[in-house]
Amino acid sequence: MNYKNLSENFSSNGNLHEDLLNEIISVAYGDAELLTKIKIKNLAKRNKTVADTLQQYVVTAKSVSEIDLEKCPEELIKKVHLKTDGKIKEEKSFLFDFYSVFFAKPAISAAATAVLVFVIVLSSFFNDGINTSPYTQSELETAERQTKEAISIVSRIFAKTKTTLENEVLAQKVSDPINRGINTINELFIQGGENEKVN
Amino acid sequence: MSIKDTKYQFLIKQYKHNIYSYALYMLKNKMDADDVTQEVFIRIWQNIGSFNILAAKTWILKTTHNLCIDYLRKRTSAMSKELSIDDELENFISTDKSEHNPYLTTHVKMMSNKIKDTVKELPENLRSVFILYEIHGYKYKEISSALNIPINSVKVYLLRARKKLQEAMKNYELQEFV
Repeated sequence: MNYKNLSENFSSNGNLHEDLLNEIISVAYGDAELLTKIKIKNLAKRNKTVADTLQQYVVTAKSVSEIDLEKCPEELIKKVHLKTDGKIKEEKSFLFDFYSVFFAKPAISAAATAVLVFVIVLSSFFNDGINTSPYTQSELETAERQTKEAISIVSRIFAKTKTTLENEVLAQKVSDPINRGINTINELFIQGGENEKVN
Repeated sequence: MSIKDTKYQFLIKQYKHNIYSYALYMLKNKMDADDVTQEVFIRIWQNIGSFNILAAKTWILKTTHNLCIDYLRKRTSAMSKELSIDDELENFISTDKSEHNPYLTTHVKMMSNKIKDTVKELPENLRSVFILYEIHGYKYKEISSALNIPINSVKVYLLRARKKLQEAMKNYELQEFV
């Protein structure tokens, strides 16, 4: 629709075109798109018929929006309970509260959950930042090198100890005395055998 | 309290006013609206285990609408004997509104009552769409699936209802002015 040429918005009998009227109604009831709202409001500034029509519909729309739902009488609920022979229990429970919170306003529940998850993720992210090492990279490399050196020293000491144990302690201090003791016993057995033959 | 009771209580708490209000506007009669509301409550209880609670809104709306249509079809000449909504609703509205909206002016009250009367006089298809969209705040899609009509028809019916309402209000204001 051409909004610049005002005469095109009216039929030959001076009434508003159907499309324009529909758009005016949508604007008045608040469900028109933003662009349509701007166009109609601009048009209303330049044309009294459009302005008047819009105003009339706005007044009605406002009155309509003020109409509330009629309240359901509580006795109807009680009558239904009687009709079902008291099978329906009335008392509230935790489960009822749970349903009320999560299903009555699912969008709010989802938003609250999203915010909670976001806060948890954010807090864990910041905690990671706090717990990072206070040492620099070069200090860490130096420490690693020193640790390796210390381990290699210990390793060398262990190797030397093993060699000493095998070559000196076991061979000289343990094996030799045992061998000498066994030889002495053998000699004693041999001498004993010779003495029996003589007798 | 079982899960069935909990679901039932939750749905009644959520939708009792919607059910009753829709029935009252559609049937224009408090007694019939009471009957339909009770029938819907019973059907909710009977079917509570078979439907998804997140899809319950549409199911309840569809059930209420279908029951209202059944009631409207069953009506005969005995209709004139029925208690008019006007007397019942006038009292109901006047006491209820004045308690909750002390600043409501007489003019707005009159406008509001006139709109309610006009809405009640709309053709059945326009009336149901108008009530559900404007008073109950349902979306086009919900109305479409509940009333089993295309979304475009919902939009067209709503537009026609708004125009008819406007015409009625224009005539009313002219009468007031005279």
